[in-house]
Amino acid sequence: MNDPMKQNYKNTFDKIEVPEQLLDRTLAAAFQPEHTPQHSMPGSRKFRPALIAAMITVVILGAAAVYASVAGLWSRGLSGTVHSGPKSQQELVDQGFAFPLADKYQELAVTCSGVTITPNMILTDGRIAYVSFLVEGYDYEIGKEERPAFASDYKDSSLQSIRDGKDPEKEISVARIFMDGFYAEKTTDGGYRDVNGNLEYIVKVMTTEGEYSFDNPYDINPALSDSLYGSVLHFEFQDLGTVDPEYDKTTQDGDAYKNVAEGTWTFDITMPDQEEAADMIRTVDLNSQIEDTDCFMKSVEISPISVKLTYTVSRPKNKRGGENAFAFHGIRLKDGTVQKQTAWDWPVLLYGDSENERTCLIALDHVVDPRQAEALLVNLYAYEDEMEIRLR
Amino acid sequence: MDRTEFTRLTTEYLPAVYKTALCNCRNTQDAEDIVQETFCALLNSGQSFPDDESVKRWLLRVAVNKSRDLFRSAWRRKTVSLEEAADAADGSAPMSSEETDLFRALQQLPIKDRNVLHLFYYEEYSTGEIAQILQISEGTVRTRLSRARKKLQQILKEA
Repeated sequence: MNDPMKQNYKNTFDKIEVPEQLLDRTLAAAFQPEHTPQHSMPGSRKFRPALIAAMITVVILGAAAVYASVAGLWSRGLSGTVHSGPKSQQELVDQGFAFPLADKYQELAVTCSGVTITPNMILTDGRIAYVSFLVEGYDYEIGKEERPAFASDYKDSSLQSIRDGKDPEKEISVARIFMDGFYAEKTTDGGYRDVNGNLEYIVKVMTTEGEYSFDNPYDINPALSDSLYGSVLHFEFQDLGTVDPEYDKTTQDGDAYKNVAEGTWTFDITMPDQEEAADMIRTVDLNSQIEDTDCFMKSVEISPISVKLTYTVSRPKNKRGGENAFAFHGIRLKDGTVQKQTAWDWPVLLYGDSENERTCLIALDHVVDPRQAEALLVNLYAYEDEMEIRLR
Repeated sequence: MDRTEFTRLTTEYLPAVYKTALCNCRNTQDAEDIVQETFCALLNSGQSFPDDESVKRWLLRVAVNKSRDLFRSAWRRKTVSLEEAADAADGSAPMSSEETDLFRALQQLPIKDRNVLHLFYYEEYSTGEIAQILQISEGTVRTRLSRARKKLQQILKEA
């Protein structure tokens, strides 16, 4: 992309020269005695990485065992995706947001080249859906540099995830990942094995029409499509292999991918139709102008896993797209605690029916009780300070 | 890390670390302090790196963190502005008015946005790589980047 500002920036910083003596001063400072590396005294105890790893493993396995006995339903990846604990998991099941598919397990399983993939759980509020798949029988060694991947993710990122048949007007936006359950700050796509040796793959679906991309600011902003409830989502995963992450960073053209298990795993999954869950979504009419901005907040809808903000701005739709959504930082609860948003994905901006209306869809990375939400913490695009949108 | 290797790495990456630090600071003295602290941290870290690029990314992250610490410090010098310092920098090529405007505009951005912009524009890292360097989410990088670009454009337009 030809970006004149970038060129100007480079020119500007190219002209800044490093002070002549700085290298000498830096080397001198580094080689002063107090800056030389400190070595352990003979006989002193050292933490051994293997021991630490073993300790961590024991803690994790212990926690997982307790977890399984309490919740017994949720995989680690899905739990980590929305930071849910046993209590909130049970509530989400009871309220009709989470749907364990254990009773349909055998019926939904697809096996190719010795690898069996089975939809394990659905978590949805109608706007966003996470579908968790268990992947059994894939010989992937934890701890190696390579991570698991489907060729369909790599060679054709548009992948075959289709809603209600093949009507292109009903496409959905999809993100997929081998989830390890440790979110955001740690590895997010390294994969892990559960106690049965299975990998977990999570597909995130959002109700959007049209294409968008965060890489290209000039892409068209999509519109919000109908609820996912009752839709049939069609998933095709083709060929399973490994990706070298170091190679991946530089090429991103599929060469980093090595095929391991050939096959096509196809699923048609009907999203539940849950009226009781819809009752749990809290709608707050705001109808207020954000001070010193052109933004008029209309309403907020909060479910345990997402926030939908509707607002207007003075500018009409930009046909070239590129308009930014709010930056979302978290939710302040009525007890004063703040649930910070740490997920790697950011809010999706969607155009409304009128020229000035916008909708912002945020996938929460921490499950929230909508009734306990006191304020949303956001940055309005182009305005620097973090602000609170109080939910009165 | 032996002395020869450390000297090689310092010589190689000092300019990048200095410019990243300068981007964060309001004066060249602070930037120079950060450079020294950063390379001392490298020597003392005892870390091994798979390649030079990993060293560079580690250095940039440490420089950003040390800049942040300095910024928070009550002892931070409040003397010469970066803009003035840049103009006065010995041996630096003179800037065009366009470049001076950009430099001034850059100073009006929040520091965290400046970092992202600098790593994206000058060091030419992808948003994913910047997320790794700064140890923040890629979404946050994208948000800051978009905000910084827009704000910079806005400031330059008004200038």
